[in-house]
Amino acid sequence: MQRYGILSLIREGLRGHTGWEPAWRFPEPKPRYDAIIIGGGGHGLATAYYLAKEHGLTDIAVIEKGWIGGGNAGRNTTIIRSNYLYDESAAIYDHALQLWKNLGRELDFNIMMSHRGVLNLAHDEGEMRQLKRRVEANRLNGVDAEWLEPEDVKAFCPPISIAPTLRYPVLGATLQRSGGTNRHDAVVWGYARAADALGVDIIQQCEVTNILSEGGAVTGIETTKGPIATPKVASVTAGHTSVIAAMLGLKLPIESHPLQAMVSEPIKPVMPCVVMSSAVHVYVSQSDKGELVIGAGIDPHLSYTQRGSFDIVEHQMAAMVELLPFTSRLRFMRQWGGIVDVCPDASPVISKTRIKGFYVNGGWGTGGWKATPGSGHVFADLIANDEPNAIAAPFALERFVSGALVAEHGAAAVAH
Amino acid sequence: MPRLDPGIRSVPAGFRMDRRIKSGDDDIKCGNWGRQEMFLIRCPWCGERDVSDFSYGGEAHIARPTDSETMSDSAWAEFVFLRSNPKGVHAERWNHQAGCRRWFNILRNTATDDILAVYKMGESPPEVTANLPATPSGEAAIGSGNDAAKILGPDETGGATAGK
Amino acid sequence: MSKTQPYRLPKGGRIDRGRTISFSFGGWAFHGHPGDTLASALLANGQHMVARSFKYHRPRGILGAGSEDPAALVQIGDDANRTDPNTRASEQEIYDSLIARAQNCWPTLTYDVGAMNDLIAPFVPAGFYYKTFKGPLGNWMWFEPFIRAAAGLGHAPSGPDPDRYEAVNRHCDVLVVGGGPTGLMAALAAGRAGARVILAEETAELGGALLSRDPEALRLNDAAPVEWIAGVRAELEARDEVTILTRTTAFGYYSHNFVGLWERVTDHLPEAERPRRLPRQRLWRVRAKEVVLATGAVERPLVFHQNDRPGIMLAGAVRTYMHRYGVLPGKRIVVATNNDSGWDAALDMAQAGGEVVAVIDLRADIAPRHLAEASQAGIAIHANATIVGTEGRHRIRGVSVRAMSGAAASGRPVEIACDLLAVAGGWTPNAALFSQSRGKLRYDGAIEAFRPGRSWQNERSAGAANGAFAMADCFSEGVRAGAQAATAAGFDASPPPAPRIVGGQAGQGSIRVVPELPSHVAPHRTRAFVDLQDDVTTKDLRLAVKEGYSSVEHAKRYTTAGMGTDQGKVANLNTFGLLASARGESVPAIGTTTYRQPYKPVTIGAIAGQHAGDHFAPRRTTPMHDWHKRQGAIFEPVGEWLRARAYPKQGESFEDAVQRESKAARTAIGVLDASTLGKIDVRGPDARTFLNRVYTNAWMKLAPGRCRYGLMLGEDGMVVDDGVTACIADDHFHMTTTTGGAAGVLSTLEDYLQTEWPDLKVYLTTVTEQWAVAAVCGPQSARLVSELCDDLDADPAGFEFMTWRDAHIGGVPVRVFSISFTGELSYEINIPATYGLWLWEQVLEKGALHGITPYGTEAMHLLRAEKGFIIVGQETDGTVTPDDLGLGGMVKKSADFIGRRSLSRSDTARTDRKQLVGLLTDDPNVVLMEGAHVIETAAESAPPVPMLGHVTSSYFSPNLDRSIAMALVKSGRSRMGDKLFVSRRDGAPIPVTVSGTDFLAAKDSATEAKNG
Repeated sequence: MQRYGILSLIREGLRGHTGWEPAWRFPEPKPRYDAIIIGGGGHGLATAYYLAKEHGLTDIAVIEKGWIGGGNAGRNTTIIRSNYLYDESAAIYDHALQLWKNLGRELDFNIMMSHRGVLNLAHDEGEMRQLKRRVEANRLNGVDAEWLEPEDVKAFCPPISIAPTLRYPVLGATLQRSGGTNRHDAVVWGYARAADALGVDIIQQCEVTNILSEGGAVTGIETTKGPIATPKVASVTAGHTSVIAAMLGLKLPIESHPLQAMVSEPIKPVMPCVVMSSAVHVYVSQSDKGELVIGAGIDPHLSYTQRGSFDIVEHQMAAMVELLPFTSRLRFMRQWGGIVDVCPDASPVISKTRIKGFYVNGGWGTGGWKATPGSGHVFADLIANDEPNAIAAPFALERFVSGALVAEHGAAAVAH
Repeated sequence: MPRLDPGIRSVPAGFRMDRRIKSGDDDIKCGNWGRQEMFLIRCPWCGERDVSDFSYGGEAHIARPTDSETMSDSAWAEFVFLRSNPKGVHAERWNHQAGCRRWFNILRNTATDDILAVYKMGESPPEVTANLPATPSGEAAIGSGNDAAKILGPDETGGATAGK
Repeated sequence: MSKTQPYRLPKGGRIDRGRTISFSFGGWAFHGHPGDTLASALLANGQHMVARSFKYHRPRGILGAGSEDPAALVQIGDDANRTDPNTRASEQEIYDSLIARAQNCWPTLTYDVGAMNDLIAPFVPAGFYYKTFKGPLGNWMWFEPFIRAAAGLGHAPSGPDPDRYEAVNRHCDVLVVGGGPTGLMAALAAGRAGARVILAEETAELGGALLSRDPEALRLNDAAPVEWIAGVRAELEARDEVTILTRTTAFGYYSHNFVGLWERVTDHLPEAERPRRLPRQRLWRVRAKEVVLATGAVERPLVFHQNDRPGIMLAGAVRTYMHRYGVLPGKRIVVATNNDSGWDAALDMAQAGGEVVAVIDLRADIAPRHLAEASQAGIAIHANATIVGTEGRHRIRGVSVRAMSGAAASGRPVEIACDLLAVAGGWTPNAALFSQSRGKLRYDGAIEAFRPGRSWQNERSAGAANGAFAMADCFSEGVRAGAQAATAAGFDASPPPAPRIVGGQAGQGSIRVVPELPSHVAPHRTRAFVDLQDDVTTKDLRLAVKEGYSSVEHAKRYTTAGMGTDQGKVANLNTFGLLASARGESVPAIGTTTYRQPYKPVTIGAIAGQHAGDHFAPRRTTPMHDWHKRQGAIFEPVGEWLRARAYPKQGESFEDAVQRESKAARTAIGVLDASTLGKIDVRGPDARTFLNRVYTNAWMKLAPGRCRYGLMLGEDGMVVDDGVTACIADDHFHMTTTTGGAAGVLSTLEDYLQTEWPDLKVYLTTVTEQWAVAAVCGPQSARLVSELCDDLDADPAGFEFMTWRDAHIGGVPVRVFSISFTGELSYEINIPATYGLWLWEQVLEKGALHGITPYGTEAMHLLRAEKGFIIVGQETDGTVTPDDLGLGGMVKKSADFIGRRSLSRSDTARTDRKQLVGLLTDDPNVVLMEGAHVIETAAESAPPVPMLGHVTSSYFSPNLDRSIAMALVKSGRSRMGDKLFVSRRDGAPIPVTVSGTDFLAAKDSATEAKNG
């Protein structure tokens, strides 16, 4: 893989940038692979990368119906944090956060990992109680998290008002300093480039139309570029997880909802960190280009159109002005939607299934982006070994039968 | 109440899937077919209201088991948690929460948000035609506005917009 | 002509030459006229350069004349709270004392340090930041502050917005977007058919392209364009069913013909003249039966080496400045074009007195008419020619032209001096709203652009927006579209005739699109800009394709082409053309990026509308609220309600008040305003059966007059709500729920009744706000209630616990429930809400003799904890079963209820689940933190520290004179008396002993044992 860096930039700058190699190949699908990952988003490409790098499975392919990073990976608000309540969640999200820290260097691709801090505001006694429980659980699980009194919140993020007369006064907040944001496209491209260099075939513009099985075991897939044989198929298709699973007659505890987000026009830096408020129901950060990136809740109904209703946008804007009154005069520049795969307990499904060789990694709902490297890492382990490791085990499908849910409802109060 | 499994492959009873891409030439409304309703929901009792008047109640026709004590844990989990979540025709429950507070069913094409039919609780879903994606996770010929449905292909006939 | 406006034409323009407006730009004073935009006024004064580009900080001028302009963005207003960044100079109308400033430059616009970026341009191609800043030397966190400081254009206001916004809902039969020739005819056709029409025009005046034509050279029905427009406007205004909205942009086409319009009501007026009763801006939520999109077309610039200098403008825009604003932005003019419309512009400029020195046309064969007229006007003609470079730093000084042979430049370059280069790269139908409506575009080879292909919603595009650029077609298509829309909306339309046109222009004729004009300059030294705001060059796009970012979306994101505030209005088609040539494919094969809302940036406050400040979220208060306020109560939001949390006396701390209130409730009389409790009236012959299916315990035999506490589960077996339900009669029950759960419980019950058990005859009515409730408790409460009631002896001997009575207070009918949430003798008096305050004052007046004390929600939480009573939402979080709470006894075996089957699932039936227990700290004065975690060891091990559970409730009890706490702990009930520890951030874990949860009972039995 060609080395990127300031030196290569200078060298190429002197000869008109003619020496840059393509970041990935555009291979035609081979008749057979050892494993196939359906879905060329962040999680899918990370899975392929770790399969190749840590498990030596290089004769594998990522099949993407559109262009890599075109699904939720290209539509999220890039927030990174791991201050989840339950031990099982803390384990996987913090595993991801540790991987995020050096991922740019590992992939030799600057993903603009900005550990600028994430604030979750508490506006009433109930929220304060919940957030203090979370911060203490984080501390005992070794996840960096602290409780801030209103004055400290104001010091850390000056635009926030802590006036006690507000409709939703700030009674305090949790802060995860190592949380923050990064550049979603860079993560997708970084993983794709590294996986491709390890021999993984990334096949874009190729849609999986069926999954073949015999005697309860996977034998291959049908695609718009012809059939491919393989003993292992892994679905990492977010909003389309149910559609892929239905190809094997499997039903999942997942419903796909539109999740909208938007950006303001680019302005000079004003938001130093990520701010999230459940009660006011909005969260915001400022991109490195200067746009305020604003997100809120899902549309309540099921939809695959990647579009939501306007009344959701109106509530989002009203909440934005309530949380940060100065944003009222800024203009919102672009609004879009993704399809988020929501589980009843707001926790993912990382699991084998009753069909041998078919694995599912989905149900991340509104919180999938922050888990990308951790999800890929443990899912690669599950695919390679056909057994979940300790971090992945609690997220098996069986939990819906036994009732041992990982109930992060509180965490999903506001989509992030 | 028939248990519907509107999975993509198996067409449930009562649906007639029309995968042919209808040419719109004959339709004065420039290429779409009949009155399309998306997110202006026609409450069977109150009439058309904006979607914000309603609350969504999830997949329809999942009757609550009357003999749950005899069911296995996994059969019970299927009732409580598993959903078909189709990209296509979906029978779903809606409540006119800000109006008459009555529950009713809707058949909606989740690939385009087209509302195909509105029918009352207790009724079985009517037959509908829907313009569905040609492939399971593809886009319908028109209606989502997403990547694969932005530009007319060379073979697609477009409706006559005024003037042409 | 005043010397201060050297480029103002002697006559013409829709401006009021009788009045002069003075405004400032960048600290310098300028003059203009009413009707000018900031752009036209600056151009009149010869000021082309108004901004610096985002990345290279190159000088940026005014390219367009409306919402299509990509880079002439300025900051309007100096007031800290009322300043607007990134405002398009070509859209901001000027007014007296308007203050505008350049953005993203320091120290000044002319001398900007940022321009240094332009020098290192060779080393910072598209996506350079992905290739560096990875460390280990300098990683991203070190560089980010510098990058962020350089990024962003204008600055945000610092304080809350002083202006007001509002939203308006409208239904109409036909919504016409765009007030040009097409839109006017469509509105006329629909209006005459009797339809209710809304006509939305983005600028301040109707007329569109008609206002950009030489009024001498164009006659409509023998009238000057302005008169014809005035006539149409008069007729439309005379029709009651037609609404004309100027300064109003259709920004969003959503589902089912829902279109969002954004009206700028007072932004064009000086602050002093803005009427207070008017909002600054208005959001129109329009639901239209039919829509006509008459949004016109956007002119594309040409892409050539050094094509970004101030003074390079779109040819169509120059005509607009000439005829609409009376400004010819240049003295020595060169026009470069790839279609006929460039020639019309050139001859128009010559006609207006401009010295058009040359017309450069990429095409070899040019219409004889143009050649004749040009030579007659002394204009040099360069056919089959290409531009190879330009001169001039802050304003163009010259352009160099060469012949074109095939795909290369040839022959000697010809240097032409000029101070204005008008470029005409062809017209793109404005199909943004059409695409938002989920219609499918069609690539039209005749105009080398996408135009509306197949509609999906009930709309049709017409005129230039539909690819018909000739004026005659605009008029005729407008008539047809308006008539068709009216017919579709159910009216019989009699289409008006299109006006007779004299001097109307043909369209753009043949067009030769060259994605990048060939030149002799080495490719890597060519600076040909595709996106003027974000500084994206043709090299960047080719690099993207070379590195594999070749799909249209990848190339856009890798280079940021079309990701600025203009969203690529003039740039996108050139970008797609460049990508297609780099990939050797056709433009339709490349596809387009996605047109998303909004069409152009819209103020966030305008979308928030009235839902700001107090109106952001509803606030519910009880009938006794004013009394609490007068008492100086401290309040707490509970859901949408505001509840009194404590009543501190003068100089009393909150904590002391809570202790006093809690003490009084147990020693004398306490009274709580419990009006916010959810109350549902349940009636019908099947009411008992229904309650039996909804609650975990049995309801078939509860006799009238009696009350029972009930637990409600979700189908997953977890507690979701609780409350006391009283049997009024066999077919009538009064159910209470938690304050926060009321709405949810009502919806759930209605759901089950209508969809699962339609056979049950049960009718539900929410009566939460119909009853006010004063909960009186304490040893003296029975006497107080007896004194209060005309006809009730509240002595518990006769008035049993968990029963209720009808009674009267001062003749007012009340229901008195003997139920207790404090463990004390307690009566909840329910009275019709209008008497709530009166009752409250009666209770306090008569209670004064017995030492009555009002207590708030904090004391209520403390008192119920002393008895170990749970609060759903505090002891439970959606993962707790009845057995976990020690309430397994309330789970009936006799019949099914919501959630029952889940209780026997393997994980739910485990005996070592987290169970509710009491925790008593060894040191009675230490109060545990709510949310703290219970661990088994005296010291915290290295993380992850195994946690047994967490503290749900914790208080210092004045009645037990020690701290008490409740917690959910693994296998809690089998750890009675065990020693555990509660962790805390900076201190050793606190030793505690596991106990029962009824602390009060424990104390009483202990004292009995002592005295016994």
